[in-house]
Amino acid sequence: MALPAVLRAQLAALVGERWIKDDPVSLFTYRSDGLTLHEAEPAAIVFPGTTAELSAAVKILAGAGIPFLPRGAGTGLSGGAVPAPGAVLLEMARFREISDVDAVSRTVMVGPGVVNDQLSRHVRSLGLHFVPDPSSQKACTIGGNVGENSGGPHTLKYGVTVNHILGLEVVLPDGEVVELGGRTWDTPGPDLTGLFVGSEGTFGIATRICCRLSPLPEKAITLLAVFDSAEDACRGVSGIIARGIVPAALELMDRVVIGAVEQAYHLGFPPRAGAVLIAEIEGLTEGLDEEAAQVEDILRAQRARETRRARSDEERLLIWKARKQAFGAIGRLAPSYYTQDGVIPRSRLPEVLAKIYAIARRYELTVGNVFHAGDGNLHPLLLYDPRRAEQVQAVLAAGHEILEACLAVGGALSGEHGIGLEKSSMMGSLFNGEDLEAMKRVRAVFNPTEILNPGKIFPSPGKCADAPFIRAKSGIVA
Amino acid sequence: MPENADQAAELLRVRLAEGRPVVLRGAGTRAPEESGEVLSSLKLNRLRFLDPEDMVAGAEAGMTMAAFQHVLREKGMHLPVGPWYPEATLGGAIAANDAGPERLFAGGLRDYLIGIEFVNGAGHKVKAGGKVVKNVTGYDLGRMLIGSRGGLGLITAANFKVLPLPVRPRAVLVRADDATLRTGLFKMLETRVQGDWVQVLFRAGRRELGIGLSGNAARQERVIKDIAAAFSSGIEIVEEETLPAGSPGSGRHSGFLSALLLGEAPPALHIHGVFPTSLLLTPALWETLGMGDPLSVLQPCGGDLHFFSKDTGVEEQERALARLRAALPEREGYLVLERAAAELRWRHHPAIPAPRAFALMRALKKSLDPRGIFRGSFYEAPAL
Repeated sequence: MALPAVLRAQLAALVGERWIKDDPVSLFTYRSDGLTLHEAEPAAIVFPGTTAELSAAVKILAGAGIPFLPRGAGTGLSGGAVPAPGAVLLEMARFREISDVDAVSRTVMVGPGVVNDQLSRHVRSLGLHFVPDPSSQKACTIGGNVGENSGGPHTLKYGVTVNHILGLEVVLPDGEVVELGGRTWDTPGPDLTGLFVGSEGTFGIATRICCRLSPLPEKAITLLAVFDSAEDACRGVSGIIARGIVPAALELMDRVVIGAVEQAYHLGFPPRAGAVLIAEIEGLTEGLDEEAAQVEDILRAQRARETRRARSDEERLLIWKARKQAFGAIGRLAPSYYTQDGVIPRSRLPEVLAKIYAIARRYELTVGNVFHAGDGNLHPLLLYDPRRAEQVQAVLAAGHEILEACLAVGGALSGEHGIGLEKSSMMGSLFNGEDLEAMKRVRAVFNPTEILNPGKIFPSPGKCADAPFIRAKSGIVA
Repeated sequence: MPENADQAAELLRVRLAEGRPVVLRGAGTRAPEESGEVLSSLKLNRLRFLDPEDMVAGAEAGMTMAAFQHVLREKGMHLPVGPWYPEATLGGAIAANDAGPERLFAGGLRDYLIGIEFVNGAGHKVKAGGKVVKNVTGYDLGRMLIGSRGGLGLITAANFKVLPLPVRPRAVLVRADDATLRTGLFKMLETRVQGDWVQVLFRAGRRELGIGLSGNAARQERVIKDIAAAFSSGIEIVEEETLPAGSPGSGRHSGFLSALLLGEAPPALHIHGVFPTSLLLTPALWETLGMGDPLSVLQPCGGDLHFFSKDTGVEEQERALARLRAALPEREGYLVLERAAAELRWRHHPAIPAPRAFALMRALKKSLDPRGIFRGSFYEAPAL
């Protein structure tokens, strides 16, 4: 659905012709985020350069009744940045300023287009960093992290994005510019910053973000523990927490993922290992070896076949590279994969993991697991070939069942990827009508006409629980 | 005093039908609303679950912070958010966004609240979040209620991520003059000394800084060395359990303000300030904090100060407020009247200046409580 010519001219006059794109290649490129099962081309992509430009663009679009939505790097995994029919994408990549670094207050102001990893590199010389480190941190933006409340491997000890965001400048869907929170760690009144983070681009568009910085760990010890089964590795996780130790990260990779990672990075994992647990202990140099030894003892007592420590920074970084690029390595095993993001009480990991394997077997799918075990945040990767329609349907059905298994043990639909389009039809399984109505009333305060990013998070009226099958129209099928 | 969330919802529906607003109250440690029937959460005081292995716990909102910390402690866990008063309830602490001396190192309520249950302005029970430590399923209505001051809904239960108790907690006490303490604190923050909590007390002509630390012996030795490098002298190390009453950090698990006030009733004036830490280390502000009676408290952790005065006179209180405003850059933070003479509270919005997102907060109040069943002076425009 093309943008009306008059409107296009108005937007081009505002941001400049080069910052509006609606050629077929651009529209095709921006048709999905990282979850390629959902796709729809926008009417146009606009790249505002300032808050004033964004506010004016929003006023033009809202005035014409054209829906719009923000987009960062498009690494999201729940279809949150997929446009509704006729919607315009507001790409925030030009908001790249980093300013006002305050090493004593440990705060910094950034534009939403700043890449996550770039922020940490910027403040590294001060001994500080921005803690949330999603696997996509080399590409994803802070604005996207705010929208989705992104996590990452190190959230076990330090929390997710919301725990590191203090204030926001936001353009509301009517073009008004408001400030939420501030440069202080708390501000009076309802925590609107905390409410906004994770609202998946349905409340407003952040244009400046005050981030909290944390001291860089002086030393980190990365341990690898090899187990015969993923269930044993999960028990190892519980064993560590039960002893009152909270490592910075506790990540698990199962046999399928180890195979893919080994092919890609040659870490020398035992070929028949059932699972590998990565445990990272960090902090002051003094006392850290002692704590690492304690963790090794616990893991061995929990049937770890072998434990080893990264002997150098290079080796440590290689382990993390393997972990963070494990999703990519899976590409060696199948043309595509579908990942889920359910989160459960960590003590239920062995039981739910067994269920996941059983579900995959029933649908005759291969499943690999690489996930934030310390948080109980699962990422089963269901491998499939998008050219085979029956496999596409099978992964969607299996994904649905996996989430139901998470809910059955008191879990939640998403730990860090968000609800977006993908899981909106399941919100009714977790929340009743009153809960959802209260959430909608909150959205109405920010986005009363739903012109900003419509169709996300909430189940569509009249759609039954199998909506994902309808939505995933498998446009990717050749 | 409803005994469960359903009763509370029913009671609110009756009051809605009668058109009679209510005042929500936990332990009543803050400035009370001027009028209205009190709806107390004190009988909603049961623990709902405690799973140390999953590091989560949930309780009804009328349970006191002290009682909650006690049950956690019995299982080797704690919520690292110190309550101000022993009688403060979980719901009250959330509504007022309490933060103790652990804020810099361990975080605040927004970092630990993982699930909420509340009754909204239509008298319906609503839940958001859950029992897992990481969750982006739907909007975070729990965080919305942090700092909501009883105006958006009656909090009936809350779930928290909790942490293992610190190992061998100790405190380093530093007694020195203002300049030495300010320079030392600046250095300590800049060199990123890793403690558990930090608090400065200002009492008539006397300053005392406390820094908490924990962990194995080697780690503690290192932290103490780092503190000593920031402060050249006046350092004393004590086990946390033997901290003298009235010292910085005392009562941080059970109600630190009460522990610092040493039996005195809360003073008539309590002004709470939130400013970037770097702006709290100025001679002008420290001189003003030195005028607190019986004390002032500074938590240089994301910037938190508490000024107290026994003066009950409106004009005396107004002058104290003006002194603090003059010592702080107004655009950079806020002062909150936690307790003050009624007239002072009529003259000013409870937050000075009113929050920049005040219009949104009022819209939120109107949307969640359209009939104004919850009295909430915080959401009323300041008198001019």
